[in-house]
Amino acid sequence: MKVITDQERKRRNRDWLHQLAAEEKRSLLLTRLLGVVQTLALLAQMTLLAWLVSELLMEGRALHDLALPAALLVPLILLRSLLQSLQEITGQRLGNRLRLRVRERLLKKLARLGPVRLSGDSPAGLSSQWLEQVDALQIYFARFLPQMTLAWLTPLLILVLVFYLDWVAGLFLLVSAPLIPLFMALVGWGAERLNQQHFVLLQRLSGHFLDRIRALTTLKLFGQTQAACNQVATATENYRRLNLRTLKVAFLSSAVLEFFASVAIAAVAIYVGFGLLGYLAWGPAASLTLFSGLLILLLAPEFFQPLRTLAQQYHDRAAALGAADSLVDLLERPLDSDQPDKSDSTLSTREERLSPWMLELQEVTLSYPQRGQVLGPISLTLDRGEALLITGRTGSGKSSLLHLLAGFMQPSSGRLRVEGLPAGERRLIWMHQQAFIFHGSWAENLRLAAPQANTAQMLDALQQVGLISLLDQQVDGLDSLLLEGGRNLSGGQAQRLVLARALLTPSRLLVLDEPSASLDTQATHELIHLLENLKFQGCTLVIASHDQRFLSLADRRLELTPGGCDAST
Amino acid sequence: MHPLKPWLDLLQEYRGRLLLGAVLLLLTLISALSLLGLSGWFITATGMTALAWAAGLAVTLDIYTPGGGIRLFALTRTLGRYLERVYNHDTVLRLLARLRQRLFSGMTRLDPLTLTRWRASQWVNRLITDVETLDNLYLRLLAPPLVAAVTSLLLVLFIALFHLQVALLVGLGLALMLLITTFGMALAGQDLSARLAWQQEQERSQLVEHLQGLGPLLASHALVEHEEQRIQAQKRQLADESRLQQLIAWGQGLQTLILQLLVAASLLLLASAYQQGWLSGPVLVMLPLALMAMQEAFQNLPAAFAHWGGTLAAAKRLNQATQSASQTPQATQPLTPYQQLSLKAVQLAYGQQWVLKDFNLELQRGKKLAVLASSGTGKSTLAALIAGQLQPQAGQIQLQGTEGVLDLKALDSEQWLAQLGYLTQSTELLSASVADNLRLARPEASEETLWKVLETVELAGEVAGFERQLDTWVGETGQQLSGGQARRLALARVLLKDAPLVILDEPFRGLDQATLETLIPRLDAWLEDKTALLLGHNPEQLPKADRQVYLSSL
Repeated sequence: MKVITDQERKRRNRDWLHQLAAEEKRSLLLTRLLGVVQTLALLAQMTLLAWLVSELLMEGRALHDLALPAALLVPLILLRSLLQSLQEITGQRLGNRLRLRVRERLLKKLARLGPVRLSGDSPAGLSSQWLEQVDALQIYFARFLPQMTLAWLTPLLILVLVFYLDWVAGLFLLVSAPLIPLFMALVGWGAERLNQQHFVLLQRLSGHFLDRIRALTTLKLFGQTQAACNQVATATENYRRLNLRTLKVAFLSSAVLEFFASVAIAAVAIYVGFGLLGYLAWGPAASLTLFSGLLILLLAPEFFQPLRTLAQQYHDRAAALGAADSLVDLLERPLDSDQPDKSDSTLSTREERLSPWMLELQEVTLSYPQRGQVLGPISLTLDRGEALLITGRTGSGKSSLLHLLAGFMQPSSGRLRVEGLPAGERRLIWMHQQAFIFHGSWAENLRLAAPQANTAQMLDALQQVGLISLLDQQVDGLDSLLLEGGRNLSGGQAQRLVLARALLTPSRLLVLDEPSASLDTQATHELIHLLENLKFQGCTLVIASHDQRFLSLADRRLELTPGGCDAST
Repeated sequence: MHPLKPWLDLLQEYRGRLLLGAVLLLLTLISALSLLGLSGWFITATGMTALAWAAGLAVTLDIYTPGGGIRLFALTRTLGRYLERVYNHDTVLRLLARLRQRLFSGMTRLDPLTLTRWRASQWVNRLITDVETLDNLYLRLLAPPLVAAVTSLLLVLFIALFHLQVALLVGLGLALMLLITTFGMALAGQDLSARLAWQQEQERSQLVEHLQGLGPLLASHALVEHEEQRIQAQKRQLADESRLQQLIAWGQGLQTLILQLLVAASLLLLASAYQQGWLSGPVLVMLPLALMAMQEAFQNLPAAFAHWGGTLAAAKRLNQATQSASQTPQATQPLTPYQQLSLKAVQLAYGQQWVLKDFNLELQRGKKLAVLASSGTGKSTLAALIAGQLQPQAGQIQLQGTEGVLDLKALDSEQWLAQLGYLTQSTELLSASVADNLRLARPEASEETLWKVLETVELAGEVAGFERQLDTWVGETGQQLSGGQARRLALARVLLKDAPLVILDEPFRGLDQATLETLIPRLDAWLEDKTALLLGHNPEQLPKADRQVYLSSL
């Protein structure tokens, strides 16, 4: 895999977020537009307020003369709050859509990576990527991105109006305007520090805590719970002390923003006051009125508000970038790094659909770019209703061969056919040590590989594997619920259910990986007996096991040694 | 009892800090109100004074006091905000430490069955998130509405100095706003936000299942269908989230609406008082402007309270976790020498399912007993019973010695565990160094001792190959050990403890035949003078036993 620098990674993550944002261009534009119109409504409301006050106090107009303009405040306020809600809703909705899309892409990618390439990842870790990390993108798209635009556009609009009213007051704000990029940098710097120290440390701390809880049984057995409890407390306390030092600095950046916002109000108030009194003989101060003065005062806090909002949301950006980093890693994980050297044989035309063999291997090999040839060449054929036992020590390639048969990987060279088709094109039943039962009804579980199977066929299959009496105990028959991992079945019953699936598929091909690994002697005998029965029913069996007891079942045996094999019949 | 009660009690410990934090918040908010209000007053006063001067009236205006006030409030607002943030974050971090300690010590009293169930269903992750939710209880749900209420009250009292009717109107308006943004939002979002956390956990376990089944699903061509199910579930979840988001958005809009309408209404009412001549112009501007600054006090309330249901649910889960734990009484009887360990008519059911029924077993001191069974037939339960990690629902576990019979239940569990070496079926390593993991068993062990025990389990060579050797970080966040390596490390830990009674639950799980053949004679020698319970599927995969028992599934 190509090594990329930190800089390139950061750019890659940003690019990915931008590409996603581009997919919702219109909604983003709408969100920004709603924000801008909201600002305009705000400006109108403030102008009207200042005008009303000025008319009342300076011109001495009667209140009932001003009733009509005053009534105009109501629709303006209504519009403003309506737009505020709509902006939030539009933003959140586009975030929701993007999250769904990213999740869909992740699922597709996981499917394409397949079980072999994902064998090094923990399902829990992947599912937290799928849930939490995708969730971390929400606020970035829903609020931060629109706010990025509003953070300069709103102050600009206000600035234009203030300049029109009084250019010195405008200058006050403008002087701080070149500071805005500085603010941004300050905010960014502060938030970045806050994130790097605060969030990373907090995460590590959560990790430490989670780990101690996970290992609680062990800690108890070794009498170390009290020590661990103290450790949890000390770690948090140390973290607090360390972090507080950083926070004191990090919060300074927002304090600076707060300071400028406060000072701007104070400066504007004093400038306008002195100007109105005529103490300022220079510049436009002489032409200040209560209207323009009051309006400038009302606008001063609004000038800084978008930036303060942005500052509050800055850590959402950092969280999104952090999530993007690992999401892009997964989405762009190459499919060929673990993939053996490919040959063209697997892509050949499907000329011989009517292969007489259930399974046909001709000179099949598997090799990896780094490790060289790990399997084969293997040639063998297996007839319908026969059983093949693959034996060999750990690391001899038993699992790799099964993966080839199931089509999870393609052979590097040679020809591999399952009922005349390339591997992976026929439905087959795959069983590892632990039988795969999912949360759903008995019927749904049975129909896994045979969506068309009808009730009679399912009952018949259950009869064959000796589960019919168990089904009779279920209240809802085939509609009764099975829990994930078959938690309401015993290990043997779960295995039987998986075997019943094979009877329902047209090809009746079963691939079993170490099926007896967690069974005792008696249960293993029962399994062998059951498999004999299935064979008699026309099922073809491929069993990888180091357990010699399966020999009685096997029509053929393939002994694998690292880098070679020895087939016998 | 209210689910939040225990957590509020916990907050009591920090009463002083919390109060000071709230005061700082209040100070900041009042400064903001005063700054805007006073500025409005000042501008209007100067404007009107100028007008009077132009009319030839001799009016004086003290410009220094308000000017000074404006500068002061600008300063206190900035400083208040800074201090408030630093101080309150410090408090939250202190709370975090306390909450975690509390949860952890609560969970140490849980029995292993419950613990295992939780681990399997990712419950622990949920609990961590829940603790984090409650960390923020004070900063999100307690201080802000309190500060908003106090500020509102002060503002209303201040307005009342000038105009009673306006004070009444503003008081009612702000009270309504507070009600809507707290109770209203909490009520409207309660079910939704409580449900969301659960849905998320369900989604998690379903996705884990999906990933674990990737092979079988792919082989059976059923993957696309199952993907579709996940996507549909996601759509339902997002629809719920969307409903909550909308609720918050409308809440925020409504709050702006009420506040701005209040500003407009009070301005007009005050204007009429001005025109009747009993209110000054500057005050007419000051009061609405101060009211406008109240926005800051209310703006985060709708979102915080819409998640009230989720917070409540989090508290309930945590209460359940720590309360169910605290029921086990502490036994104190000291351990005396014994000749035989026996289980008499022991019964244990897991829900409706029997695990052990009328189970009898005897283990003489110095003997090795092998118990053989398939996975899921109760052998790990048996081990947990003997280790005192589980209590039988009926029957006794006794230690028979020359000085009489001891019931395991009454025994000081620390003493009992101290002389027990138990290798559990699943391998649990801490996220810590290899050495730390080993020293759990014997904190004072020298490096030499550690290397020796690693050699015994055939792991020394591999650890020596790691860059940082004994300091290599293992566990979820560190160097990924293979299943076999982890198993041998766990075994080494039990060897290091060197306890007189040993329970080995599938000790060679995940090890290949060759390693197994090397390890068995070494363990046989080590077990020579010990009492041992050996659990597994086949006798060939266990150390030598004096006697074998087969456990059949019920």
